[in-house]
Amino acid sequence: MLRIVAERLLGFLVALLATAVAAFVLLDIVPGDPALNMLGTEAREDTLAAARALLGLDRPAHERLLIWLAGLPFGEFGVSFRYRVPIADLVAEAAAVTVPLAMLAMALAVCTALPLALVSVLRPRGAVDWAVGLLSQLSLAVPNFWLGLLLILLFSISLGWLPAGGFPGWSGGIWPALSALLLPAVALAAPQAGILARVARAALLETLAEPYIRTARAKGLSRAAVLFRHALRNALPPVVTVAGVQFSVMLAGSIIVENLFVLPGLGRLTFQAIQQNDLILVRNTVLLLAAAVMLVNMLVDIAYAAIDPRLRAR
Amino acid sequence: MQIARRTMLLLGAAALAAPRALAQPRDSLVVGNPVEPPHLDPTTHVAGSIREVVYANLYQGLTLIDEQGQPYPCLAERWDVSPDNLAYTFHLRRGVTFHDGRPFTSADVVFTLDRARGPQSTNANKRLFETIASVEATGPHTVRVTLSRPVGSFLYDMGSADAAIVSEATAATNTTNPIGTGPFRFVRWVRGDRVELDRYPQYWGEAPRIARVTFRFISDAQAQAAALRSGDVHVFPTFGAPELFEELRRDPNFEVLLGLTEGEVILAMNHRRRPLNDVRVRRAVTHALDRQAINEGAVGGYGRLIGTHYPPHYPDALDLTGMYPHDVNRARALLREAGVGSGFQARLILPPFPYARRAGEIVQAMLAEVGIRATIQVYQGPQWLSEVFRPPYDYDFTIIAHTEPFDFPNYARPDWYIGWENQAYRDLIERWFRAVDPAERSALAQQAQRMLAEECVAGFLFQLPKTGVQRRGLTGMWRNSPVQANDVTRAAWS
Repeated sequence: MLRIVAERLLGFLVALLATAVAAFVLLDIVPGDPALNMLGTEAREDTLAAARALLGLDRPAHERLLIWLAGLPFGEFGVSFRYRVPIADLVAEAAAVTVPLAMLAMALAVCTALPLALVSVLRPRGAVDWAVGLLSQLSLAVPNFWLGLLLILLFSISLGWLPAGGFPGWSGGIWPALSALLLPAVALAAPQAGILARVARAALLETLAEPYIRTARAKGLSRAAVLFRHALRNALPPVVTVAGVQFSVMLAGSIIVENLFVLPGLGRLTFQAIQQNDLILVRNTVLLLAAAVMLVNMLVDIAYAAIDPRLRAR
Repeated sequence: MQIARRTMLLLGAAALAAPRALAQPRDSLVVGNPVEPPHLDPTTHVAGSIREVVYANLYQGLTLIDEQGQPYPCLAERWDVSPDNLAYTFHLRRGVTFHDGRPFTSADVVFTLDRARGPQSTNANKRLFETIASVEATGPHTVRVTLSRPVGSFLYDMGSADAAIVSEATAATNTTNPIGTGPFRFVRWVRGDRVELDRYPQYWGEAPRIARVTFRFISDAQAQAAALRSGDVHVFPTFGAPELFEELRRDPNFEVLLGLTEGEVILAMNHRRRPLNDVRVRRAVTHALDRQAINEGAVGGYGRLIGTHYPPHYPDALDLTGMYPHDVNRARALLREAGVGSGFQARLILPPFPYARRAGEIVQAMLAEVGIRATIQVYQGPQWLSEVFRPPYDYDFTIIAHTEPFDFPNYARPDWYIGWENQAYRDLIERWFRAVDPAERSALAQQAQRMLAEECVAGFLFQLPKTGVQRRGLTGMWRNSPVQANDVTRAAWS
């Protein structure tokens, strides 16, 4: 077990360094001058030079790369070109929106997908199974921005129960913040729940066909007891893999939902940084999101080992 | 395409949702802006998004610009001008304090102007200050500014957000904790979402009726519509989805405010390149353009057609749209005359703004009709700035709104991206710069308008509209935007 963790950790660090260098090089050759962006159409050579010095762009590229890499382990990511504040603060503020949002959506997805999968395999090809299948197809087919718009129309505009978007911040209390995240979490969770339900159903059906299930039934356990005690745990590895991928997708890929609901999360921060040529911020959020995806994958690998004793022994 | 599809979906879905009657607030106001400001110091950044929050609300200048585009006394109560128009003595208002409690004195004016024109300046409009030869405090409440030459627009320039008066004590931190002298003071900024301002109790002037104004930042047009309908936002001074106007106009909850900005949308042509350096080719291009169709396609027909580079709502504006009207045959004949009868290839570079991209597609089709085969490339803002607007000036055509007030003199600049070489125009602009008498300035500006139109220096398309939507019952918001600002100091609920 320890060796698996060590191997995965080393791979993680190497991949992270490679991503950091690639992100720096690629974003450094993007056309456009951040100082010019700050000063606009009336910029002059003297104000541009002053702005470049202010932004630290008067140093050569390799020096800036080394300074950045050296600061990373200490959480020193540099100062945003656009906002003129430390990037660590910006990212922390945005993560305080995106991480709870992704967790809420993931919890919603798991809590609807697993029960649905369980009731549908009780009677495969029965009426419930058919209905669950239809529901998950539907949730996959509906794009989440459209679902989001419908939710806004119903809950914000017609009923007036929840805000149509925006985020009041956690300092204003738990409930206002949570209520701002509820609709986007539903919009984000729906397609993932559909996928997850299908994966869980298939895994459960496969497990239920195993000989040891027949043995368990033969020794007198009820169908439900077999399902919960024996089948569920053995069907978990593919479900955990998919859920892990989904969680990283939600962390990195909620840009559309964040834009629709005007949530100041990581996706929107990155999107705006790209639009505004805040390359130093883009570079750091790219690295952070890549790190998050790699971290989740690493944890999934380790969780595999925890679920499946055969992997531990190897 | 994405936007259009989503709009259709929203319209369909909107039919299902019954609108709710919205309760009217009393002394709070939520303003929706499309872009979040990078920071809150307009004296070190060009972004209009900063000015749309802080101008006149939080910061003030010696003068400010009103809704008609006229400067009026603000922190300077009055001024004396020397007979040679070189020395301005400003008499400052007494009893003014900054939001941190510090009194406002002549030292703040000296600091602000010296900082803006100094060697470390990152002021986006430093040229406004470059004619200042000296600034001296002649008393605690008087300042004398001496110019190196007469500047006709000096009092106007001092009213721009670039010249907002700041205190030396807070200049470095105004980006995140802005301290000004205006009727509203900064409360907090929830980054990515909102900036909140409160009425400043010690304000020197008339107290605003609104106690708290919140600026929310929502770029997505559908999210803007949702925020209006749910009552989360009371007004979008520039609403992103003109296709929803008709629907909102019918809704008793809302009022649509149509006005104009200072933005002349032009089809810029690169005079540094052949064949666009030939006036006959530029006239052919102008003849090829159906301005009304472009206006309708790009901004729903809410813009106003222009025939030269001058805001059409100014009293001294000339209507020159008839000088080279839409005439495809005439365009073809002119191209033949110029020796490019079989047309030519060109690159049409578009910035990412919706008006430019929509207009670009239409212009491309109109150019094709007379044989000019333009290929469209869309650049992000920064790339457009560094490759089109500055050397290497790598473009044939581009479409852009020039939003600075009084920016027609730019065509005289030899280093400008248009690259027009015309000594007569340069002399004319030099006279306009120095002219102080309003009648003389108007006459010179009209001469400039005619010259730009006759030479077809660019394809002048339309004046960018200001398309606002607000809750019924709100008064005092600007219909036009002579400067980039959302002045809410006179806003009130009826």
